Amino acid sequence: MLFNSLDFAIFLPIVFILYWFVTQKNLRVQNGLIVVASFVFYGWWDWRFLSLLLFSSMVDYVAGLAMMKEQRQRRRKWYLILSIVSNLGLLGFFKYYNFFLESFTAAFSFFGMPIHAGTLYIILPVGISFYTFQSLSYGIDVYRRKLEPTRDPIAFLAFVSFFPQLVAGPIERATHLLPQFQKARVFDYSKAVDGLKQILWGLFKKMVIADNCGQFADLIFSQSESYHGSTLLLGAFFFAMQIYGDFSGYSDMAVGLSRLFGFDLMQNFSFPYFSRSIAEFWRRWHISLSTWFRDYLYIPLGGNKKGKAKTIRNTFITFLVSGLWHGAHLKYLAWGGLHALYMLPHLIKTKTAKRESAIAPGKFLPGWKEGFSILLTFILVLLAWIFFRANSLAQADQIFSEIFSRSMLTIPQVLPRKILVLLAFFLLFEWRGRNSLYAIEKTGSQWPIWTRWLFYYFILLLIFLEGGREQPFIYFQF
Amino acid sequence: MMKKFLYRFFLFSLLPLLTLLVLEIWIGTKQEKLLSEKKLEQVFRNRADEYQWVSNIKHPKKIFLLGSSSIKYGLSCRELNRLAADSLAFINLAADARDPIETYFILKQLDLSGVKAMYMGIDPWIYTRNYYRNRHQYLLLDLPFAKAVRYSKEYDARLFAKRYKALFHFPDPDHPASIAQSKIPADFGSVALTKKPVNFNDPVTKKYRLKDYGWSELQFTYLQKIVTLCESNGIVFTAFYPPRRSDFILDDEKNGRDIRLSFEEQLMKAGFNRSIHPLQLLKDDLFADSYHLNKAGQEIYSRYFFSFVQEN
Repeated sequence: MLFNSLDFAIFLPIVFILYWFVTQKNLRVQNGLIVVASFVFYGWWDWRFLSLLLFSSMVDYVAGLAMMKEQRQRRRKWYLILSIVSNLGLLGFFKYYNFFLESFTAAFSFFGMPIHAGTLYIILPVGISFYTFQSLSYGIDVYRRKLEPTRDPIAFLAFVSFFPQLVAGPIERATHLLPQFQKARVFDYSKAVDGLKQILWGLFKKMVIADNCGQFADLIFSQSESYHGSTLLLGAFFFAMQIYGDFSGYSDMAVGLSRLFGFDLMQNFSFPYFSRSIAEFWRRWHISLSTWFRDYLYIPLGGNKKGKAKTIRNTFITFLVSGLWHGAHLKYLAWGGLHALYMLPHLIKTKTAKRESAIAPGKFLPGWKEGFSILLTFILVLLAWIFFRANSLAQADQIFSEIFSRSMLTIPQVLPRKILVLLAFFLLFEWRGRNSLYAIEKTGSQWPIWTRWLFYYFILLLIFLEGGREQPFIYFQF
Repeated sequence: MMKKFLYRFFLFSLLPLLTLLVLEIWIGTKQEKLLSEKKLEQVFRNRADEYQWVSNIKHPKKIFLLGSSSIKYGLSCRELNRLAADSLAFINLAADARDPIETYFILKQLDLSGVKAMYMGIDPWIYTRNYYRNRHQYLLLDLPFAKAVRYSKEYDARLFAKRYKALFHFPDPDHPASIAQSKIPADFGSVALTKKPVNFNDPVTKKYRLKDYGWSELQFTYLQKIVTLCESNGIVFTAFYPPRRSDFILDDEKNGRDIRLSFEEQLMKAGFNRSIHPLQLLKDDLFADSYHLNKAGQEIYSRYFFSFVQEN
């Protein structure tokens, strides 16, 4: 079920009413309702994949309890391995089986030893990379004794399958979200209103920005050989806006929806395109995944504590794995690798860079230095998106050679004025709200109610009238 | 707190809901006016701009070929003109998914002097509401509310937005205004199909969805209007069924009997009482898919079609 669908518009009020009016008095029943609702939500795509969700949850639930009872470290490790192998096994089979098989056969052929292995027709279950990672973090945290495992299977199932964030995150940590399922939730008016506001902005980002930009990004990338460098760069810009609007829009809706049900999810995006360095970009983009990789991969590898060479190695491994997490394709590896390269100057620097705080605080425009850093970081990110969006490395190569040619100096062949005006409106609000949780969080807080409502009606009208052709959420495929 | 939340949410939702209600009532009660020829003429104005080149063909015996993609790709005007030794000038006005409504307004905007005959390929699924998804968004106003809800769930979540935008004459981005073209195209509007078309292999039952959406009466009305337009200009009008691949014909015979009868009934209702000639080809390797001829098929079918024109 999509958040921006009629089905969901019917589903949500039903769940909301049952949640606050029928099941509120009994926490277990209320959590049970969340599980049922989440299974309906997920099963709407393909009910067969519910078994995977159930399997992944149950393995971690049982492994967690076993680790709690077991004092011998060796045995505990085995339970952790069981959890990791089960989750990564699922992910590996559904997402990477064909990729690795094809890569192996290509490698053998390259060395003159052709082998024949049949690929399988495997459908990727929606959101598998998200819920397996969330479930996995539970097992690891219990193993590290950071978290007391839960004995309540319903609360655990609700934690793994919580529908607002099930298919595209934020990838919540058990330490943050699970305790929220273990205590009674109280309806909070201002939290619910704020949640609705965030949903509205998320819908705007998805339906107006992402869907409209997506149409042009698709157009330009589908016929990249017929466009000049300037048009291709504009195509990359449209894709940058599409993926941001799409994914951060989904996260906004997920966070907003959770607030309607009395939950707090972590912030997943914090205005990443206003970052002043690549390191800062990764502290602001897909925060739940970046921190997941930091805590469960980068730091266990040694992080930055074992000398420069190992820091660089660990950074490269983390970025390459992060690239591969997005999909079984070399282009994602290239994207991750390029970001690791971007990080090099930051890693080599002898002085530890001061962590950037708020962006241009108290000013409408940034200073020259800050503005230049924002622009440069954005251009680097934009160029990396080309690998991500291109259909193949060969296409990315063709696009880059066109961008770094004289044809870059021509007027773009595609210049959709209406979309550019909408983007200007969007970026203006994003910039205004850059130091909040989401762009319109504080907009109108001092206005009279009717002015505020007029503003919300205006956003609704834009969604209704200017929403682009419906496109599937990009991150569902991961 | 919850009471306050629900009350305010209700109040906030009231304006959009009332607006939608008013718009739907407007559409429901004013449908006849909204879909009148005068209104549709505004929607389809300038559709003939892409055929400015037609007036550059100075020939005393022009023959127009009308219909949808099966005609655009199915007949070659160059071949037909060659067969006629240039005693006739065949011009192809068919286009992908083109329906009688658009065809009628294009004909109305064109100079019909010198046109002696029009041959129209009839693809009955074009006359269904199920095909409104390939039409100008204005035609979505022809869907009753309940069907519009179903349609939006099934095909296009933005259907209601498109419907209201159509009501206020917002341009349809999927059907942009025609680009004026005065240069005579190489094959006078015909195109040889070199690529394999996609998603055109649906079984008969899936194509029509009559139980869900029904026939578009407007399409039948405008087919009849084309006939009347021809009659008033002294132009001979002939309708024919374009060729189909054998599996499609078999499927149609097996599962499409009721649809055929219902189609004929609709034609009669609209006053269209002419026979529709079945001009079929039976060799399957001449087809790119169920009902689009490939390049070789186009050439062979053009010869067959020419002999039919001669007989008429």
